[in-house]
Amino acid sequence: MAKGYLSLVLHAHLPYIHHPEDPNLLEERWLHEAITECYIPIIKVCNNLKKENVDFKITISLSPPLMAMLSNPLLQKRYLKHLEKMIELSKKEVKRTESLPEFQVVAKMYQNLLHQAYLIFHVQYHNNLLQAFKELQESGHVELITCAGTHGYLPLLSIHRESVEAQVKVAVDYFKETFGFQPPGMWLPECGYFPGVDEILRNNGIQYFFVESHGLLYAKPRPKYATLAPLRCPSGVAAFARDIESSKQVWSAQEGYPGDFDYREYYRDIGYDLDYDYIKDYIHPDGIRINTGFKYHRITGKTDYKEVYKPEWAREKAAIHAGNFMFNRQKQVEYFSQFMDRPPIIVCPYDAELFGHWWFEGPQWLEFLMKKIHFDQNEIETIAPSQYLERHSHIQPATPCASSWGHEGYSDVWLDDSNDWIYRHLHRAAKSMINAARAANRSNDYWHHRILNQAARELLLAQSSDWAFIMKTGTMVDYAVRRTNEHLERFDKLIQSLRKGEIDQDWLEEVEERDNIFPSVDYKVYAGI
Amino acid sequence: MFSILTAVVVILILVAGYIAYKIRISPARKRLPRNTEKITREQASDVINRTSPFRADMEFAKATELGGESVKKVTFPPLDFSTEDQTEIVLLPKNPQWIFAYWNIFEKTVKDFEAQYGNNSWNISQALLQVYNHTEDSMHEILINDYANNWYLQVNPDSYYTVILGRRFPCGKFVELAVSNKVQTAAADISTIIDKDWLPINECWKVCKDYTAGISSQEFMDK
Repeated sequence: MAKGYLSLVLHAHLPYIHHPEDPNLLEERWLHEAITECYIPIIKVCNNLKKENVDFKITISLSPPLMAMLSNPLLQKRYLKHLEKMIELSKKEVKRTESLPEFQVVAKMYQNLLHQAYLIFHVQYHNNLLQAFKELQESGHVELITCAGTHGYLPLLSIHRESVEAQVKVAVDYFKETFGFQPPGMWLPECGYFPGVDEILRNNGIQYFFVESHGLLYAKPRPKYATLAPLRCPSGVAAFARDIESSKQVWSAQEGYPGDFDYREYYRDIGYDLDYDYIKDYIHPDGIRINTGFKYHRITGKTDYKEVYKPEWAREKAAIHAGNFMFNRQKQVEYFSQFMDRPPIIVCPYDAELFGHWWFEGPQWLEFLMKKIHFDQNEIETIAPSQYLERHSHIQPATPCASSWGHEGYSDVWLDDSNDWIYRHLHRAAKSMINAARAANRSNDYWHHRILNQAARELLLAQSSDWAFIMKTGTMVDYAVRRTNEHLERFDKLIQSLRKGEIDQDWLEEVEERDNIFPSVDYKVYAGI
Repeated sequence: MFSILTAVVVILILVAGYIAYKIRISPARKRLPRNTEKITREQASDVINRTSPFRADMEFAKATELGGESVKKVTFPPLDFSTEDQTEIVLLPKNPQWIFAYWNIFEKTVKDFEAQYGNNSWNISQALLQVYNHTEDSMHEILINDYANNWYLQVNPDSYYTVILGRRFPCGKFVELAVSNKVQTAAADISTIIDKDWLPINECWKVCKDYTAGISSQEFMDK
């Protein structure tokens, strides 16, 4: 019998980037990079563990925009083309590094990884990775959950309850359509919690969500077990908190594993380093240099001088770090279980995109960790939150504190002078949407319903937290501003056309094709009925 | 000579095969006019986009602007719903110490104000925010100017607030223009409220003493 639980949560999300009109959009590379470097390696790790009969449980949150992109035939086709191009580059790289044996080892590693990616993506899952996640859910190794509709940052949308209800309901409905079952939990985008959102979650069948550590530590009344057990919100929904110590070990720039000098250096990429004539076919057609994913150096130290990456050294470190992580969790569990009347639960949520993309060795670390937990010890059991709730139903009632996992722990990232201008527009649009939805609810007109469904898609897309986040971080700001404006402009045109009783069908069809997320969306969610 | 003839025959076979293939797939194409249209549009965009990733969208926006010449304009009964623009003020809590307030003042509000209080009454009155702390039952005022449409307000953690947007005449008379939503700022510390059935376990709380909010992926990526 284990003394405590480890609940590892990977939240996978990318904003909805769907531009049928532009096959070379830089931002579409985000999806390509994440599929190759994160999602496929995570799937590979889980499948390896399954094959080796390792008993493990991971919770994976798939955001609706990511689910929509992974199942979109056009984007699948484009990714496959990209992957083929990268395989072609890997062959060239193996040849180019013939006289540089240390580099060639790395080139061959990439060639091998890309071939495996092709086999997994195209041959095994026929271009649809959602199938992989579904199989892992069905075999009991992964608990699949989702997050709000377009990853809207709910605390700042909450002045209209209908906006939050729509973000939650649309996501749950879409998840059910895609996977065929009710998601047991929800990842609140950016862990953005405000008291009352739990009631909306409950109304949509959600049993649990996650908050940043102080979401529980500052709860009212004070929690008995700090972050080591969930709280029951007034709505009945359970709130689990991020563990402080294990967060630091992975996230912290100073103390975290990903900064180890033997790990791969993210910021040295042949897309920037090699001669233009050699690399031009693998960067943006306009000649804009971008990451290719071929990186040959290790972090080495706090210096610009970088040594060549040694895959076997990095792998060794990933194993050591997995052992260290497990050892620390064992110590935590051993210590706290002495004082608690229930096994402590250590919740470790991470962005899935950290694993493989920023932290190249992250998936290896995950595999080592799950194996070590299975084979080398008895103190910890990996668990999904819904399993915990089945075993421990007597939970302390309390109200968590409004919080997020962003910098400073509240809404600072999504609300400052770089992005505060968007909220008056988002709120105005939400108000129009609510008024129009209520009016149309009494109408039987086909066009009213069709136009309002598209208006709902535009509003949801404008509400993605990603745009405010990008504006704050200062890179690719033009794209974030453009997307916010575009969706709001399209929304306004749709609303105007409703009042006018006239629409250009070509335009509507084009907008429906481009912003085609949530095909079954029902605008009535905004009518509050 | 023989090889040239062979090549010609092979080319003819290929051409015939291609024509047969086109004939075979053409009915299917006709059944899917919309798909064909999409492909054409995408191909056209490909060409446009070679130089600029955004040009195609601009072209699209121009070509499909509402109210322009359209071949497929459809009409339906107009939908009647309220979009009355009312002067409003909205509060968004940023963190335990700050609230962001924005407001929209519409021309009608200014006209109505001047109609009631006389010509130039808008200009001679001072815009201000009355910040109500319901938790402490206190109020303070912040003078604002007519160019601002938003303000960051310094506040207390774990408190309820509303803000009234208004104007004050030199004589002291205050006119309310809009009342905000009521918001609660987040707590910034551990609660003093204890549930006697769930007495905190000191050992569980020991590790939390050095806790600082806000370690995030962003921090990691920045460094």
